[in-house]
Amino acid sequence: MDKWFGYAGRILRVNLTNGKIKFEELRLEDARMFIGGTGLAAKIIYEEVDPKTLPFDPSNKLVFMNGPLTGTIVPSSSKYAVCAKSPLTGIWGEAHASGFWGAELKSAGFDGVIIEGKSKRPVYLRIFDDEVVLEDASHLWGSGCIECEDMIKSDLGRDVKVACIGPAGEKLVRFASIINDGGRAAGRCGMGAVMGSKLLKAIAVKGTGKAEIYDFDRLRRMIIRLYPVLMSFPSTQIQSSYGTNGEMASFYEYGDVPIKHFTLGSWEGIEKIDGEYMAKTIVKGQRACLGCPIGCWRYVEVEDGRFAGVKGKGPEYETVASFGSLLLNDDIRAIAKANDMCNHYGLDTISTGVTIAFAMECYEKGLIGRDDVGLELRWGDSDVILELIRRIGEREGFGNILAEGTRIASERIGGSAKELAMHVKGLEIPMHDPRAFKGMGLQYATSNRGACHLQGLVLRVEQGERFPDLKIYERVDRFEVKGKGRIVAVMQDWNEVQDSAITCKFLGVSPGHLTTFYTLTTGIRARLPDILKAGERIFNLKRLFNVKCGVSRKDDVLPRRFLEEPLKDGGAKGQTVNLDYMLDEYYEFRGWDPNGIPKIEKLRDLGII
Amino acid sequence: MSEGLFTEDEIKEDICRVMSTLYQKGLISAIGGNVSARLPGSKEFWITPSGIFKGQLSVDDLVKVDLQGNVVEGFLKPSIETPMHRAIYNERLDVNAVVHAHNPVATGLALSGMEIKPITVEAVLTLRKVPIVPFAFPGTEDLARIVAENIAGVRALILQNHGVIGLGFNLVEAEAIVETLEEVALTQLVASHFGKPKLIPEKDMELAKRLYKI
Repeated sequence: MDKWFGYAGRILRVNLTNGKIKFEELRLEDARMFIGGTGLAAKIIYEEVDPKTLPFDPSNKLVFMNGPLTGTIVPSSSKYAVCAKSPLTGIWGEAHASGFWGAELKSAGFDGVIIEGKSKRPVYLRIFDDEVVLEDASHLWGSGCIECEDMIKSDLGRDVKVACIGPAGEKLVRFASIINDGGRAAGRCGMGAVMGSKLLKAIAVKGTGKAEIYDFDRLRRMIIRLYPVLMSFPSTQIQSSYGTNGEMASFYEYGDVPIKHFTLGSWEGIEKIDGEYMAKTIVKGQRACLGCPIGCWRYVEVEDGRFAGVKGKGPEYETVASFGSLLLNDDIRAIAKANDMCNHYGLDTISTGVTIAFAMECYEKGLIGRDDVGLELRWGDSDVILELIRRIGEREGFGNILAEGTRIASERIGGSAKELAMHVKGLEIPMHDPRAFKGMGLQYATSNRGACHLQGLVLRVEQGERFPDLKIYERVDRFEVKGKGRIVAVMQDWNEVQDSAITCKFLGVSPGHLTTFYTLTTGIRARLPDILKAGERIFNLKRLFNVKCGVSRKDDVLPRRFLEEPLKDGGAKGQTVNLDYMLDEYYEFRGWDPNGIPKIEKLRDLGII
Repeated sequence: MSEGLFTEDEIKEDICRVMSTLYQKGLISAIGGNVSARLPGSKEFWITPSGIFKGQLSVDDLVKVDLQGNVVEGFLKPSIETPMHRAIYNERLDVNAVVHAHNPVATGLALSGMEIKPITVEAVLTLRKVPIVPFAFPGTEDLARIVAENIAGVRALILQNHGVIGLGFNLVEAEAIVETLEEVALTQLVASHFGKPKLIPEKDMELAKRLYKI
């Protein structure tokens, strides 16, 4: 390729074992087939990482990728993705974060960074355009994420963008996150632990370049005129005004917000943790990621009470629910503190909250006792919650067991603990109860990284939104299971496109418009069917990696609670998930066999083999 | 937010274009209505001048004001509603354009006690809930305060005995909101005149209904 548009056209490869640094050219064919982001990362990992590789082995690779739209004028295109074989799930792992880091990597002239091998001592990677150096990080080792970012900026300049791990990543907590830009988190699947296993503390980036746009004027004119539509997705103004937690009250009406570890359907404390209450109490400002017209990022300060002094990036909906309703904790200030601690340690807030809830239920049912834990685990006790976060982050005492995630922890505890572990394929369930949205159950069961709410966002369809570009014309009943196989598959493929291009899912960019953005940005002519087929290809490639890791229908499951235990009240009262019916439909639509393995003809059609 | 997407010169030209369009459509009068816009995230904005005939403004007529209300550039007197525009920008980071028009039908319906109802797809998708804020005298800090208190999560407001406000990430959006508001109001007026307007079925506007309590 003589000249790249949108793409930087280069991928950085850093071998931590021997210190070798290489600039590799992006191949046009790969860009066409896998777009960028998690798509390109999937191709790299599929080709280079043996599925039998242990996640903490130096042969596992950690791949940071931005997308062709990252850092351009396309709205809400600030995200990057980071992928590896996950230590939490043992299969395909990926996480995403917004902020500014991904765009800065593009400015430095790279579409991504492949980290391989393992360093002998703690290091951080400094990327200043073409000047790429592994720096000693012994002075940073042990620091919290926010502190680490600040220390690096003090050394290298405030305009440097930093993605780093905290103590949890260093100590290989299996759900450790990577934090960038003062609290934006690549949270899921333990990518921070993979980084820690390689003794890589941070990647600091500064770029002076900019990806060129193929037809800048036309793209710009199109975007400016599209704003009335771009900003018309129903949740947009709610997220602008209240952040992602602005939807909590609405989710609660559906019976979607998990309460007491997914066992209750109603709880009076919800009004003390929802977006409006948060706005009245701890929110002191609104922030936006690069190029985002929504600005869902809340800046919070706790001014009074025991947690006075907590300030910085505020908790998202997922965090408020996981440290709030899930644990019967109605103290929004304590939730802000929990969020702050997770950002310090570098912990995924969803997995952390679910793991603590799991421990509390085990305690309540007598599977563990005070002697095992060293604490009395009481629902709603914010002191206990915060102490458990600390112990997990430090891998101290019982926290060392919880740091393994609910799946392994439940095996260690034994007895009926496995029944209480709320995960799919090892990844803890996010804060949307699939009994309220049955399609979300199928999505959780089949998402390539385990229980994931963002890879499909099928609940939007089940809330009544139609996606004509995806041929989802019908009004879908959230409790119905018939027809969900097709809808989940189509939404997953579309979300693969978004995760590869990369755009934020909170802005209502339609598939057709995104296709035009892609063509005008990159000069690579694509039509909607081409783009959606790329999404399907990417989803199937990740599945193929998982199949080689041993995944099949037996793993496309949900916790028994969702299948057999209906809630007694609330918006999802009396509902359970009929997963098997949906799975049959889903496999057939996808062109997979009844055991969940992609058929040869499907893989050929997608050009994977 | 959206660096490189807009230039200040274009914003100024667009303010004049929007004023001219609104005037031609009868949504502002010769001396009523005002429009402002800023670069995304900026602490200063451009606003139309006070008292000048609104149908033929040129970029030289515009005034640049900061979020404290100080005139930064321009020599004409800024719009009397500058405090209201300022209050909106202070409250909503995602808003970079404010159109205050005198939509006759929307304002009239509100005066008769009728709220905008979910009667068309645009009413649901584009407008959702349109609060009616009580009368406060134009140009006052009182009006600015009342508006600021009512703009969380909304794209349009009706000012009782006064007019309407459309908000947007850019001027195209804010202008579209004000025009859509009048279109919906007119449709509602016609339907109300001849009977009771039929609403869009609840199941077909579920998400908007739940989020905005339409």
